Amino acid sequence: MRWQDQSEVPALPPTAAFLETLSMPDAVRLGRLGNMAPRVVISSACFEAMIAHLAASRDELGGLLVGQAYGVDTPQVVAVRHCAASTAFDSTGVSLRMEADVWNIARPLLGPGAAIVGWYHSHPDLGAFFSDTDRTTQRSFFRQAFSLGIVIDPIRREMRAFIGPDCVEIPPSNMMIHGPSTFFQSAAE
Amino acid sequence: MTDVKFIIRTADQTRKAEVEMDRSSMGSDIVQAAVDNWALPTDTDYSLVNISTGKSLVPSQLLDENFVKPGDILEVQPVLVAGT
Ligand SMILES: [Zn+2]
Repeated sequence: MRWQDQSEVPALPPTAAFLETLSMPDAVRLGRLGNMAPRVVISSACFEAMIAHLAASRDELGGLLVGQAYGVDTPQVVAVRHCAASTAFDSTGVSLRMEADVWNIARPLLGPGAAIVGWYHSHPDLGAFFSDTDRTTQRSFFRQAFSLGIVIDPIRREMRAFIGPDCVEIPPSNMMIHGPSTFFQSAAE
Repeated sequence: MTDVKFIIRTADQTRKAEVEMDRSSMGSDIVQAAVDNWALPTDTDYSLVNISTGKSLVPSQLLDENFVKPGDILEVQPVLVAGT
């Protein structure tokens, strides 16, 4: 067997490329958070789709996140634009196994400026946190510096996000829902 | 034995390799090569899909003409587990 690695780490577009898509007040608000941690900006359509999906069951559900990360040396903004819900899965109230077909569901959403930026799942009525299993999955398959793991408790209305292979928590103030109007709503509010 | 040259990539498309393998190899050999070369977890279930044809390759599938043509793109897709 001959194996010739052709993996390339594509350079992320600069944060300015994302800021240009925002209104001036939104761009200012995004910059003015008082911390340097990455910002996570979820399109409202994607956020609503994710919540509608996860609220449909008392068992855990999940899927993949598609979007674009920005930032020259380190990811400064992760824009989440689409979610791909896993439809072939095995779950209970405390566990979830998403069959590999979820990758086939996400693939048509990928293209220039649209990559896998992470995954999401629910913890119904157990609170939003990253379990040891969640950390292992993140470390194993979401290994980019910008890779997100979002956990939502649709019953307690909690959401938390973790970034990178080390699962560093994103401050709640940095999680934003971006609607069709120029209105930012922090997920922490 | 004839070889076939194809592209293998991870499902998130962050890893990619050009591979030349004997047609008597099996789907499981491809997954094993990806696990070995890219240090993927060994305690995970993977699916192997030929993106060029849309067909899945089961572990015992031989890399014959009907399943893998030169230049095809194959994807190694992990099952994802979560817990509370
Ligand atoms: Zn979990």
